[in-house]
Order: sequence, then structure tokens, then C-alpha cells
Amino acid sequence: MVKYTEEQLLEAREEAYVPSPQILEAFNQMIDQVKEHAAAEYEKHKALKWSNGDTYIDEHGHERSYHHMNRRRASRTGGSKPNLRKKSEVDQDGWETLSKPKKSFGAEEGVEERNKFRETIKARPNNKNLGSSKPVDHREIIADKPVKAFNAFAALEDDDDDEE
Amino acid sequence: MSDELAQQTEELSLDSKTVFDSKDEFTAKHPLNSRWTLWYTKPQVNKNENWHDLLKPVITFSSVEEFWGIYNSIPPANQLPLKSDYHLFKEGIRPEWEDTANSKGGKWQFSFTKKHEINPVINDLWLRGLLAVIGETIEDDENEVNGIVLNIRKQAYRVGIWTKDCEDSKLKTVGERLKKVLQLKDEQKVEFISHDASNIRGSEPQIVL
Repeated sequence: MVKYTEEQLLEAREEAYVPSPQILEAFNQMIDQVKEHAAAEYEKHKALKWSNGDTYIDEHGHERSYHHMNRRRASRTGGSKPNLRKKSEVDQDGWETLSKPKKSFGAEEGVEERNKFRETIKARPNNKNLGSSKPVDHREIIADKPVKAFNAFAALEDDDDDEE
Repeated sequence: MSDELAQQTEELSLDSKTVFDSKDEFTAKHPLNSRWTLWYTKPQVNKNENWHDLLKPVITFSSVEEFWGIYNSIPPANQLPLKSDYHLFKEGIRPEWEDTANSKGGKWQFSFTKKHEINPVINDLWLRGLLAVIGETIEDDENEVNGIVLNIRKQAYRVGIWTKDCEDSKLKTVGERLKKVLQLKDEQKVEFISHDASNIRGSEPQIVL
């Protein structure tokens, strides 16, 4: 078996002989055409990416897209927003009040009257305004009633009282 | 344009003349052990083109002098368009899995993924691969190698040596030599995978060197 090392093959480089130049010429032409096609496709793709095809010619004769007219409103999250929350206040005992500021105009007027009015009204569920038209289950209302539960600590205290 | 290309490539014939065909022309002083055919996979430029339309035999040669004449006349590896492949196979073997000479075999391969780093040297590495194959120093006397392939892809250049069989004992020499030819470091691993396994998604390489 005839074998040639890399060095032996490289030595013969100068003796190159082109067996069928016309075939290789056609091959090179084919590759050039493929490259041209690839370049054209690339340009087409780039143009498509740049605009959706809806463009106009500006006063300088340049093709421009309408992107600037369809652009989303710039985000305002970049700037710092003013903190409108009422600052918390710490009283003498160290309790911190985090109550929200009253937003309605004149909210502080007639607070006492409003509270009195609220106390007189007994709120009843109105089935019409609830999400479900099912009538309120009375057993549930009963279940919600405070029940005096047995309290072991209270019972012990009672015993102590008895002993006294 | 694709029709023109197809017509032109159809004109490419395999009957290039060598010293064996024309004894009077002693331009070929160094006959090779085998006759070799250069194939080219053309990137698809038209959706109607299928694999068989894209894979073209370019030229066949059988001497060192012819090899150099051809090599000097065709675009170097880094000048080929993306999705192109060069294949250099023994005459009579198509660079396809289905060919009977390939169907029970596989390929040793390595991908150069850092294209910007390898771009200046890929031509030399590919040339070294070609020389090792035509000089038949890529193996000892196993006669396992059918051909060598270069894939030009967006992410990588991939070089593969196609073999007849998948027997580990016969393949290791080829893998080790490929690693030397491509001047790979120890941590750069070449992998052998059978053509059958290549068809199964997620299959592991048979040998890693």
C-alpha cells in the first residue's frame, strides 16, 4: 500500500496539476452564485427586520419607517416617584400609627355624627347584592354567634374565689 | 437562479483524467493508493431542492499532483458559504449513511465551536485532514476510513472521518490520529458515533478520546 506522509505530500505541492480546469471553474462559479444569493437573502432579512415594509422617504431622500409614530409611550419607572404616604408617627408610649391618609374632602368633619349613625344601623346581608342568589343559611349565622366556651383558667380562678 | 446552478452542477462530471487514463501525460508522478472524489453540499437556495439535488460530486483524482491542482483551485474552508460541506470520499462511495460502504459504520468527529478563534487556522487543519486521508496515514492497515467531511455551520466548523465499521479495536487508531491531525489538546475530545446511533436523538457517543 502506497502511503504518503504529510511532509512528502507537501513537497509535491509545487507540482500541482489541474486535471479539468473547466469543471473547477464551474464549481467556483456555483459557489460565487451561492454566496451572492446568501448575501441577497441577508440584506432582505436585514431590511425586513428594520421595518415591516411600510416606509416613507424623508426630506433628505432616506427611506424611513413609521416606527417613531407607533412607538410605545416611554416608561416612567426610571424616575423617582414622590412618596405620598403619610409618614408614620410614634407616640409617647412607642406605638407607631400607620393609618392611611383620608382621601375624601372634608372627611374629618362630622366624624362623631357618622360614628353615632353607624352604631344605630344594624347591617343585614342583602341577598340581592351578594354574588350568590342562594339565601343566607340561618344555621351559619347561629354558628357565628359567640358561645361561652369553657375556660380552664377562668374556672380555676373561680375555685380560688370560692375558697375565699 | 437555482435552475442555472442545477444545470451548471449537472455539467460537473466525474471523468477527470489521471495518469492511469493517459499514460503519455506524466504529470502525475505520485499516484495515490486510492482514487478519491471531492463532493460538495450546496446550501439550499430554493425550497424545491432536496438533499440529492444539493449533494454534488465535483471531481475525482488519483495522484498527489492532481490533488494539489484541485486544492489550489477551489475555495478554502473559511471561504465557503454557511451550510456548505466538503466531502472527500473514496471513489464509488457516496457520502451518505445509506451507501452500503457506510451503512454499518460511523464517524469520528470534532466541532470547533469558537469560530472566531479557529477561523485563521481552519484551512490548515482541514488541509492536514485531507493529507492524512489521501496519504492514508490516518490509519495503519485497518482500511477502515471511507472519507473525510467538513461542515460549515453558523456555530461551528465540524470535521468528521467516516468509517466502514464500528469495532472499537479498529477505530481507536483513527480517533487518536484525527486528534493529532487537528492539533487538539487533551481536554478537546473527539467522539465516535455510529450512523445508526446518530439517527436516534440523544444517543451517546460510542467512544470518546
